[in-house]
Amino acid sequence: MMTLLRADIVPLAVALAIGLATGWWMFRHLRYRPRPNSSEGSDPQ
Amino acid sequence: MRPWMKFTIGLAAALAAGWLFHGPAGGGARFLDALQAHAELRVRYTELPGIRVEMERAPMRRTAILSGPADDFQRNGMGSYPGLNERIATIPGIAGVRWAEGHRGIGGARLPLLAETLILCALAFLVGLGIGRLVFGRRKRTSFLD
Repeated sequence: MMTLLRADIVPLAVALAIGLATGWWMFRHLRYRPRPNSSEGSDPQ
Repeated sequence: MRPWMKFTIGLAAALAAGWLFHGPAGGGARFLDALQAHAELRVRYTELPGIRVEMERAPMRRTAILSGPADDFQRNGMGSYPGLNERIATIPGIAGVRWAEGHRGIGGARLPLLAETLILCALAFLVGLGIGRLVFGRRKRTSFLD
């Protein structure tokens, strides 16, 4: 299996990069979601 | 665009990259050529006349096909003395051995090489997607209090 992994290193690297790009495409909106208000419900002194 | 469509497009692109490397770019054939050269060297080392070894090509598999005159001892060995089957099956990358004449080999039916490549590409895509989720899915810090 390690021999096959070494032989397929180029397409695996490309697939990893495509996965990374898809992750950016799918989840980038989460980066700018509003911060939860942690002081809500508490009684400031 | 819906998230599952983005996922499908990304996965299809990753699988297409694997197929392009395996087929049109000749990566699969080169890999089998290297395995076959290694196997031929081992067969030559045994000095058995008339034994030929080829890798399965239609479809491409990591299975070596032996042919030629060999008795049971030469095929399977005895005790700690390995026969042709074991000598070829222990080459790194070869998944199984069978004989063209129907004698018993080592290793069962394996997936075609293209299927193995595509499965590995799908796993690499999922790993990349997971890393992308961890890296790009975190909320951006807007102040030192975040």
